[in-house]
Amino acid sequence: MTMTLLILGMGLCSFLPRYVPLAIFANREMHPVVKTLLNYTPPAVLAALVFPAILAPSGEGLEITVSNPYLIGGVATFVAGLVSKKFLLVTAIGIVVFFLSRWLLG
Amino acid sequence: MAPFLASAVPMGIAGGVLGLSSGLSAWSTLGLAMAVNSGTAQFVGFALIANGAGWLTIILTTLILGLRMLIYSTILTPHVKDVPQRWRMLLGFGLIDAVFFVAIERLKKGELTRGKHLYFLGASGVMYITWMLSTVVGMVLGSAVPDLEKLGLDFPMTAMFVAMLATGLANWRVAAAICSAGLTVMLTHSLPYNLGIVVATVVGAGVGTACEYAMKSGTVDTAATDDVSDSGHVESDHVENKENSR
Repeated sequence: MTMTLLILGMGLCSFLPRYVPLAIFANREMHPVVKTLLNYTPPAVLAALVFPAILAPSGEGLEITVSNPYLIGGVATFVAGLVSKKFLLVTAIGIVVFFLSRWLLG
Repeated sequence: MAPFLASAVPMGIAGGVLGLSSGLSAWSTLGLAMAVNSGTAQFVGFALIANGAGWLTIILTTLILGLRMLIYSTILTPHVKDVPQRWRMLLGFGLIDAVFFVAIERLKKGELTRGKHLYFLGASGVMYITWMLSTVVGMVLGSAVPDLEKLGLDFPMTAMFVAMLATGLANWRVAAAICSAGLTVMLTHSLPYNLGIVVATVVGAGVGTACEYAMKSGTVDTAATDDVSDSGHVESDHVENKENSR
């Protein structure tokens, strides 16, 4: 019963930040500075999610070593993305490099 | 959409495995996944429950993790002016990283004028069903294969995010936003509840905006205007790339 309540509470807390701006602000014009800020938000969010996942994958401090497959895979994906610009191909290259280096490193 | 779907499968499986190994029942694992509809909230929730965190901490953490969605939702706001409230509730519930990135690219290109909320809901629904089915597969696998959570199933999502960053790197201002957000998130990793992600997002967006305004004030008006439209098309570049690769 407590678990059911907890799950419902989490669901509500997850839902409200997504819904409230859609419900309330829909008829207002945005300030140009806000628009510019929001334009730069997607790359900033992605970077905030990706850096720890690559540089500290186990969540126990920095792992900037050649034996970190997340770092190898991440760098490979990034370099491939600068060269090719084909999204699906770039993602596939990154995943292959990750699992290959993971396998080679044991 | 296809690359997002493909990466949702291993993430969903990882979620199913994690839920059971955190000590939740099968129903709670699936129920939590269905209720939050967010990989981050789900994974962090499992970890907190496994560590015996109190309900208030768990609820507050879920809310803080959702602040990222507040940004997405605000960005989409101008596009839902003509959508009725009851549809907006469904749009809100279905709003996840993947759906946001796909939708915002299409909307910026002006491809979705009529019935855009239906396109949006379709994308959300497909992602939701894929995610839940993958969670069930993960629960079945998790109870059959030990130590499955150590296989690195979380990397495909990361690879996808890195690919989006690299292929969308349109100018130096975007690079500055990425680097400052990355640096901030690493420096603030000790903040509780993953709050560093929120702080880093604000810093990154702020640095990008500051660079754009600094550049505008230093150059002729026409050049500045050109650059503004450039950065506005950062995301639509992704779509073109994705379609080329199909």
